[in-house]
Amino acid sequence: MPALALALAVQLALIAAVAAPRLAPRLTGAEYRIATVALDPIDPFRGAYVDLRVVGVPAFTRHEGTVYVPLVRGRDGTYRGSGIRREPPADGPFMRCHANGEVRCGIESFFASQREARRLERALARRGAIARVKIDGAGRTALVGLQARPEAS
Amino acid sequence: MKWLEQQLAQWRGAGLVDEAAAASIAARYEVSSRARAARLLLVLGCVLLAVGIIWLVASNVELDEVGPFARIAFVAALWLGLVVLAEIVCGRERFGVLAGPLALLAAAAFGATIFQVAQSLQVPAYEPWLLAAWAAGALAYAYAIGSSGPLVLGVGVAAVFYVWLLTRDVGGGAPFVLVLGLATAAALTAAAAVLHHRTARARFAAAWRMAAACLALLALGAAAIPGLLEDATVPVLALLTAGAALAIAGGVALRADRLGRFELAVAAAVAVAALVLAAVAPDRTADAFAGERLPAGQLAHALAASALFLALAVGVALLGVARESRR
Repeated sequence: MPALALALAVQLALIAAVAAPRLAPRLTGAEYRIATVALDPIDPFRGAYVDLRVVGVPAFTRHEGTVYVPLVRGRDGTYRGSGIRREPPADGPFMRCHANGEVRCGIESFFASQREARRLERALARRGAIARVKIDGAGRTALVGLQARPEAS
Repeated sequence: MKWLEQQLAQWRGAGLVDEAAAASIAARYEVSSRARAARLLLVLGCVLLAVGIIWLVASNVELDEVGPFARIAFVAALWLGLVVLAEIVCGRERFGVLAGPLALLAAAAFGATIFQVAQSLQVPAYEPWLLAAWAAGALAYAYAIGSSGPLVLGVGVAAVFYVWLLTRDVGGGAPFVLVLGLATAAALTAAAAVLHHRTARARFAAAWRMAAACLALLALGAAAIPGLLEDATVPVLALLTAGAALAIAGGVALRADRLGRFELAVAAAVAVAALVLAAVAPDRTADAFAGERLPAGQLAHALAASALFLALAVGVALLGVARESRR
């Protein structure tokens, strides 16, 4: 019984380790609306999702390891990436990302049901997407929502 | 059963057993073979259910009223419920046979919980570390309760994670590093298998031996691919890891029995052969395949790789016979 309790404690710690990087910005971060473009693939273990790329962040880079993406506010009120830096910017919001050939900021996938993912894909392909992202002071991100850009009036 | 019937006839003829004793022995083994068939069907059913549990998460069923955290709670309750159920039936005379399959389902449901948490919190797709978390949890559970089902699942998922990480991080230009990584893992898992023979968990050795054989076959398969060695640099970390694996396997071999030492020697020989094959691989530039006929170097390389692959497959089967195991 003590061995089983220890194994369950290890398993719960592993689940916490998976959740913690996304849970912390969800609980403590400020919300930003970030301009993105989207596709609709499938993960064999977690189902349909919308594959996102942040506008203003290059898909590939020569940098390796931790990099920072400063966010600048556009005229429409949404934020865009503004290149890649090795150090966090002194002011303004930024995302802490990982570079290994491609740049990953932790908001590349929005999981949804098959039907919702297809509906989103159609709407987003036509109008582009706005991701609702919570970002904490360290630049850690949590994707909390995704919507199509409003139709241009 | 046929073998037993022949033996019983011989024993009766030699006067070793009488008619009644022979019938009693035959009946005992008939019940045993039926129980084995029932257990096999039970395990197969549980494997299908385990796949179903993962698909339950992957299907991401559209339920408007069920939020992401309620989904996590449901899958986690399923996981913990299966753990409790496996504990309740374990050791009971009537339902004890269900303990192993239920433990396998509990380990699968732990993986489903990991994926549900990742899905609900929008962790980016194709993240191999989720498999690492699943494998570590399944292995911890397997060793805690001494059950083979979660162990096989844990070792299998760990192997998939390792190969995924290796192919993702190595990139297309360094097949030699890929072969080195696979050969290192094969040597380490072979050492783990041999180490288990001296512990209370000796029956766990078979799963590690199977993983070692699969990784060694993969290493040989990867080595058979014509390489681009001249463009590749071998990272120092990969060389240090390979050296550490060699030292660990050597240390285990010193304490192993004769068969264990033989197993480790085979693993080391396969690792060296795979590395030599990868190192001498002819280049695969377009010019090398420009002619109508396969170049002699490519043909010799492919034949040598195929022969080694076949020899290893036969060797693993012979080791299974020597260990009196089917694995």
